[in-house]
Amino acid sequence: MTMHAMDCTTFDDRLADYLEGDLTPADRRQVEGHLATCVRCTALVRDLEHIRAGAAELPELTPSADLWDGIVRRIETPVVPFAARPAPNVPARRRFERLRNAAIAAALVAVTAGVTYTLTVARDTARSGGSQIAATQAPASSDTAVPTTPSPDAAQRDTISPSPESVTAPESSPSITPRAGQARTQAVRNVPASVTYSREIDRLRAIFLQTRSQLDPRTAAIIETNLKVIDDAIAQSKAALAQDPASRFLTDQLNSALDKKLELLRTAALLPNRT
Amino acid sequence: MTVATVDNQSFTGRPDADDVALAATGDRVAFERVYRAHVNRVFAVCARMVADRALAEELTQDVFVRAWSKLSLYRGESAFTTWLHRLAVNVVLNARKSEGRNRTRFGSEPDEVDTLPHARASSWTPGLSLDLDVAIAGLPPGARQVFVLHDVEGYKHEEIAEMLGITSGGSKAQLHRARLLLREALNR
Repeated sequence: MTMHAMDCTTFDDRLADYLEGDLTPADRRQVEGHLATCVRCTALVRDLEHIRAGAAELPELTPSADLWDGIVRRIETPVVPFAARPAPNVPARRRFERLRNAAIAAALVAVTAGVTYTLTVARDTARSGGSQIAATQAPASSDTAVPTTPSPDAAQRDTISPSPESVTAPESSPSITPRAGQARTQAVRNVPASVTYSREIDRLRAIFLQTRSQLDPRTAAIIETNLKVIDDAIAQSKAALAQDPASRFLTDQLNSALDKKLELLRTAALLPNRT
Repeated sequence: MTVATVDNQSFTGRPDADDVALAATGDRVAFERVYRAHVNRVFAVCARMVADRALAEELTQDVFVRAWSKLSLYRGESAFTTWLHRLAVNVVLNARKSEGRNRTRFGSEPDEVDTLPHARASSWTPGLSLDLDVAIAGLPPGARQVFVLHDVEGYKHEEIAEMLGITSGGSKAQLHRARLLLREALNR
């Protein structure tokens, strides 16, 4: 082997792999042989190593203002008792139109979820010849979705969630080891998503039923119609998840439908009295 | 609003598992302690990925709002910081996808940039105004995201490839390009 046969152009071509440790032992020896004799390439490697080391040591940053108040405003879901609410200053007709638009939007989402589900099942069925049905149970709760991410074992630890925005992504990738994750946190008491959804839906539904008679009958009818549409979408998603419990898509669809149901119930709970 | 607040000056520690568990059950005071322990870390990853402080602050809020709603799904299989950090990256990446309809914020500059503005010439002034931070902010979006995720945050190429929807080789190429561009900017 000729240790000094490598020129700077070849060195540049191999530099990325060298820094990543991806070179074969023979290629690595060649690169290191070149480095031993070339000032220009030695300086290049030194600078890049310096950048890499500096990046790993960059400090935390501080927002220009405390963000907590804004966060609190967004996470609060005030359910104001009807009796305590001031009289609205919006004409009833406009209120009705606003609610109708919101309800239509919610219904569209639910219908879209149902149609997408149908298309997906049809496609999967066509791919598998209709013979590939997972024998697993649907989520236990009547109105809830629980992501079915399995506990990762050692063989799975290099995988990550395929859906960046999936609610299960963070917990499905425990081996992702950013430096920010050095702190030790013990396992926490789990509160299943099912409990959270059930609790909130039951609470809001109770308020809606309690105050339904105070609403404009057309408004109440629209709410119930759209709840039915969303419930149908939830039922479809749950049925699909029963057959394919590992499907992130279906889990997302179900969660989305549940979120829509919560949103609609919250809207209904906050509606002003019929005046 | 009847939310108790945590004394910002007196809080200096990390939230323990109890705070995370309490927050998962709906305890907002505990969640505020979690927020105060992690906000700078979350803001840092958002800021470096989008190179826009105002947008990074919005995204940081998004991260904690989302964390609040998803905390009950945290199973403790990984460190909470890892879970939250990944959530932050997801929020940033997802926001960028949504930004397709608004090209003015998430790196509308072309990704074919081969040179960077001088590090000190930028108006980007994060934290200690490190030259490296300034130079990172000047990277093309694709190279910047890969560099931040790999060299700053410590993700692996395989993980980055999956997050960004690129190949592992593409991630390595972007990283190398980013380092070379940073060297050029820092040496000017």
